[in-house]
Amino acid sequence: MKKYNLLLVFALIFSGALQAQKNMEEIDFDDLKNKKLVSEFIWSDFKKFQDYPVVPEEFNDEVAVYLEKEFYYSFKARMKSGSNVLKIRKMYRWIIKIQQDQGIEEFSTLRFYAFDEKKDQIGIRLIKANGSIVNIDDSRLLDDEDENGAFKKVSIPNLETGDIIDYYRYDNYKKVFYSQFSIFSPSYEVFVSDFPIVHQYLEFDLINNVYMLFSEFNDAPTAKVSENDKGVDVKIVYENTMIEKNDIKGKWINNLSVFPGIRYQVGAGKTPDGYLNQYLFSKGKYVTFKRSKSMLNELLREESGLFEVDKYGKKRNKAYNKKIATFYEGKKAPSKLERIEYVYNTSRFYDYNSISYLQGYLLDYLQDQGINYTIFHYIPKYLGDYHNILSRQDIEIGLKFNIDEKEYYYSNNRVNSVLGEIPPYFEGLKGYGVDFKNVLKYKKRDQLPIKEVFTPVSTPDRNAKNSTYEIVIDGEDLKVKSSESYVGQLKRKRHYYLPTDMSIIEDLKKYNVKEKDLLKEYPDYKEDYEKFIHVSLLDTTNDDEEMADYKYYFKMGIINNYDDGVKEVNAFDVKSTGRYIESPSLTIESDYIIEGFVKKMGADYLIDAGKLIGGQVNLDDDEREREVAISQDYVREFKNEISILIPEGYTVEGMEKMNVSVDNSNGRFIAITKVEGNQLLISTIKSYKKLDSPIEEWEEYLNFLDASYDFTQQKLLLKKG
Amino acid sequence: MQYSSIMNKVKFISALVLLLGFQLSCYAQKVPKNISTQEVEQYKLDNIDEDVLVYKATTSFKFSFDERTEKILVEEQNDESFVNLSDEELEIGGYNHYSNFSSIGEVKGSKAVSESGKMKVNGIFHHDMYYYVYSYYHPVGNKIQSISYTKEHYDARYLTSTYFQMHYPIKEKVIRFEIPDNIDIELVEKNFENHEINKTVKKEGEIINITYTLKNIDAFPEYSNAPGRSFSYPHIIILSKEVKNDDGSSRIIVMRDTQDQYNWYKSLVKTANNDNNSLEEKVKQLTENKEGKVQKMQALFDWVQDNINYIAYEDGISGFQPENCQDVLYNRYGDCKGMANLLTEMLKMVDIDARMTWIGTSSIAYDYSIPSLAVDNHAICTAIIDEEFYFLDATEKFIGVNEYAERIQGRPALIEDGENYIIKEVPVHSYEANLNKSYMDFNIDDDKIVGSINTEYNGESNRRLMYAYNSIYNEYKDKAVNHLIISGDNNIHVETLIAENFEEKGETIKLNSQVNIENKVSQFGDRLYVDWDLYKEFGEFKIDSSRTEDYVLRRKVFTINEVHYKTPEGYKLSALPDDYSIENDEFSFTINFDYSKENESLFIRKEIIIPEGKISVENFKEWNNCIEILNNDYYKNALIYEKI
Repeated sequence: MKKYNLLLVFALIFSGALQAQKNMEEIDFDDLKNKKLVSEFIWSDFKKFQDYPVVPEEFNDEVAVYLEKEFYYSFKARMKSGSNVLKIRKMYRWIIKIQQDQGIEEFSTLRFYAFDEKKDQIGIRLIKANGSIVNIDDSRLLDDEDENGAFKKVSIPNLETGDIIDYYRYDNYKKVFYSQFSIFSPSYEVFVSDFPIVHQYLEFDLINNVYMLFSEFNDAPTAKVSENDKGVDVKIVYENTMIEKNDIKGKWINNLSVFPGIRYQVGAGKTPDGYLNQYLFSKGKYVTFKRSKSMLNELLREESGLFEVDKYGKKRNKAYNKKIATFYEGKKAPSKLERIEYVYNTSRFYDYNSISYLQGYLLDYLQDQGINYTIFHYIPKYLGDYHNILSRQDIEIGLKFNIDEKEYYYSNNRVNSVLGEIPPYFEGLKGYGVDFKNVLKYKKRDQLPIKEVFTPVSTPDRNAKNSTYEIVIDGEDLKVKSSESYVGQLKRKRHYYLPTDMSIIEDLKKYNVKEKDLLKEYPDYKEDYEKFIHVSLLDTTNDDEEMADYKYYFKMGIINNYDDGVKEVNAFDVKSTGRYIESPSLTIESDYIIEGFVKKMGADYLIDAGKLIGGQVNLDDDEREREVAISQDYVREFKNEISILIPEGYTVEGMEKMNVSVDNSNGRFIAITKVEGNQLLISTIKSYKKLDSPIEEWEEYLNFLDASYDFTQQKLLLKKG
Repeated sequence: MQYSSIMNKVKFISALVLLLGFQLSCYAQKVPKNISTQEVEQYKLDNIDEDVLVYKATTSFKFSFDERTEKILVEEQNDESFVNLSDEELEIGGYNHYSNFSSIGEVKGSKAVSESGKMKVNGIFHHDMYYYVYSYYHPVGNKIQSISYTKEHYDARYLTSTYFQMHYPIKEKVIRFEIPDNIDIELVEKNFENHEINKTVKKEGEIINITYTLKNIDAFPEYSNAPGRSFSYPHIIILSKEVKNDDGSSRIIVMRDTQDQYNWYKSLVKTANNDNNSLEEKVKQLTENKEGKVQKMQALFDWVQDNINYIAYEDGISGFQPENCQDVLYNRYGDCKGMANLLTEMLKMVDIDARMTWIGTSSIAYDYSIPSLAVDNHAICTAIIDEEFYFLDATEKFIGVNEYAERIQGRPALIEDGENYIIKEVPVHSYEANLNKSYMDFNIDDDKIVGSINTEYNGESNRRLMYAYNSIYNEYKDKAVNHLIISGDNNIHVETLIAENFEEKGETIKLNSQVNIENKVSQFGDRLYVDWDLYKEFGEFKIDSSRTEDYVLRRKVFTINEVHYKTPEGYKLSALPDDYSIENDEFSFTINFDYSKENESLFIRKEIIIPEGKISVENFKEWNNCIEILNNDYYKNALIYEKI
């Protein structure tokens, strides 16, 4: 077997390991199965307590400190005819010093994913404050399993404050691939942990036809790259020191924009150059750190040709035109929008994977209708900008077209989406696109013009919940008749729980021209649709899991809104599913009874009127002290129109505090409370206006969040006489 | 082995299989393949919330003696037949469990499949308990489908009881025992009183057949905070006592009486191989400045509590045998047996009379009148000083030598006494030991309440708080203590807070805070409405009236809240609320309102006592009424001050 110097590579990780390095040079890689050799080698750097780094003064008060947090990866490709193999050797090693009693509880049990005992290894030793070193024997490793899989676990014996736990895990496995070049899933590492880190080290070794893509974010350390180093084609090292522990907590945080870290992806194969565009590797290089604009443009140009309608698409277009003609027979001729919507709505169940979907249905039909469109690439918001993308897998594809001067967007929409609605996680992004008319015009792809595309940003009212409540006081209960309408991203969340059958029947009903055809396809459609639209929460017989979830989710939506104050909710009616352009709101009506919000005080009523708008964000002290920027997935708005019938002979007191207006660039909370005739009217609107805000603007958030929470604490008195 | 003897064995096994198969088919014959639609409809009406009915379930225990291992073996045969009460095809199944002392074979019938894996048992680090689940698809309609499986018990000592109930309702449950007359098995019938259980005993040759039949059984309910199942559900305790010779003398003694049980426990302690020499240095270091036995006992007890991490091991015999004292000391972790063993040995080294002690916690309904492993589930150490017994449970945290955790109070303890044993009950603390008292002194300042809240914690809540506090990282301790005052209400703002005795074992924990509280005062015209009760104890604590098991709080409750409201200047109290008092044998609530004209102050005193920490089913109605009155007439009722 070929001699292999992996342990030489290991040796380079640890300074002061010359003796071990010398021994290791003589050892074949397979000898690593001998645990003793590996542990001797790995632990050759720090032989005794005194060798271990001293905890810097600034970390003295911490429960525990990582003296070392090391990761090591080695990738080696072996190309064979028929199947290729990527051999991966992975090791992490953590050295932790326990400084307070709570650290004993935290680290006294270590748990590892199960491993192949023939190839993989775990080594644990305890370095006592008195200088003695105790190896934790393999026999202490116990098998364990839970819903997440199989594990090994160990209780560290005799663990005391002041001790150091030094342990590693070494894995050795293969991935087989059959194409000439293959790229594997991306991973990421952050330079932060729940405990401070004195020294963090990551090393990647690439051997024989292995290529890597990296992206660094949030002040991650810069990689040190060395080439052709003793059997290793390329070595990439990231190192960082004195890393404070992560105590950033709170709402609306994008982790990738807060913590320093790296993303990386491995590719292996003989001829990467042929795949350069697809995977965004730099030509002639093993390691690519940044994607250039020209690489992305080239990729886009290459893909644009894929969207030209083929003979199957043309056949399908013809069939669609026939179906549309039948559907509109006897009615006024369909507009272009209606034609496109027909195709969109009747194909949305088939395949919602973005690229194939674009190729398959909508795109082909746009071409049939002579509608020009722009295909564009964009980067999902959580990745930030182009610098953080690795390969094609990070890039989303979008479609933009105009009908009657109105812009329509399509990307990774789901089965219940309405044509033209902004897809999730799509707002306020920059992309690069090509016009389809140019794809046809420029046969030489490298001349195809690329243009910048900006995805739209919703106004808060496009992602909204609009609610009306008619309330009657009944003793100490409130009888409520509610109507809640959802649009945009807030509707999408509710749509998630609509039963699939409900959507299927609705589309069948809409687009089946003859009822006999519909009955043939779905004999029980009337009864089934009825049970989805007029939903009884009392009758649970015959509910399958999906129906039970549907009921539960909508019922809990009502109950949770009032902090468990809802006494009775027996049914709800879906007035509109919000799945078509002409009725884009999901509207649900229900009757229910709230208890605990009214207290009879003699002849008067004391009402927790503020709580009627539902629970509001209530920040605790920790959350008020914010250190990082605010990141929202979408802007949004919540409107309430509440009318309470004032019992005869009563007047309303205490409305002053229920008239509030806080409005700033980040959000608003406005409440108007008044009496009109025999109705007490409470009208509120709360908006989150911005997608991203710097930390300096957190105060503006506090202002409107506090105003809405304080409002919920207000009471009104209905006074007799 | 000779060919002929192998063949004989094969023939014998084949005959056995045929016989078993015949027996199975005999049982199966008693269950029809279909029942009438009317019958199904009737079952649906009788079991309105259930999708499945067990038409018949039979569990048969066949005892035999294994000459090779000298153990009593038990073959458990389970035959279950089901009716689908729903209107769709259902996946129907059940579960069982096994350990190193047993195994379960493949499920048979109705194309059923089975799966097994390690059970997830909270609080146990390592164990040998495996689940066994089986299921099959049952069509809609009036068909009855059956499954069967066998469980082998390799040592009857570990087969302790069997229950009639399952997780589905059962039309008929049969439990059979087939016992050779040379094996002494006693069946103790528990909670049979309110059930019509038919019992038949037949002797056929050398075999005694005992059959129990119970009809129309509800499914096991799954309630939180319920007492152990052994308290209320009908079941049979299986006591495997001995195997006899032909002349009636004992051949193998298993567990005839408590003495045998003690002897076995004692033998396991003996084989633990304690080596006290390893403890010497530590014991000396911990006791060198301590005077008298009690002080030394306290020091060693404290040290084991604080320094030995409780990690439960229940793997095979290690579920019963204590780990030796030197290993527990070295590892700094152990289970209850290991910790009790270490403490016992440490105490002995300073000439304290210390004994290993076995005990069943309050989740077990039995006492040591029954010689069974089902009687106990815990181990502690008992120290005897000047004839006084100290029950030392080292798995507890922050507990003193005269304090006992709720779970062992009043429970009989089996205490080591050389060749014999002592049984003694752990003393019971009165609810008064758990006093949680708050004194609040408030002024109404415009639309806020300002003032002080002083709280004291004793007994169980003291210990729990101390444990929680000492587990929290230093940087979060202040916040955690603040939360005790805020109690989830962000309207309460803590201005200053002094916390005492969070690290002083046995001392009352005290919190003295200055607070200002928003959104509790509403002004309407000339009146101030004050939401006077900050904590509204038990206001959300209604018990589901359909619950069929007692509610166990796991601690006795004794809470006193005294609130003093100074009347705001220029106002007078509109009306003095009525006092409230309800007293029941299981709980009492008292609220007194007292107005002092002289001090222009209202004093409110609220006292809640739940002396046994338990609400019984028969008291649910009264409890819920009481909670409703508290909410409607007190917690939600504002104090009203009128402008003078």
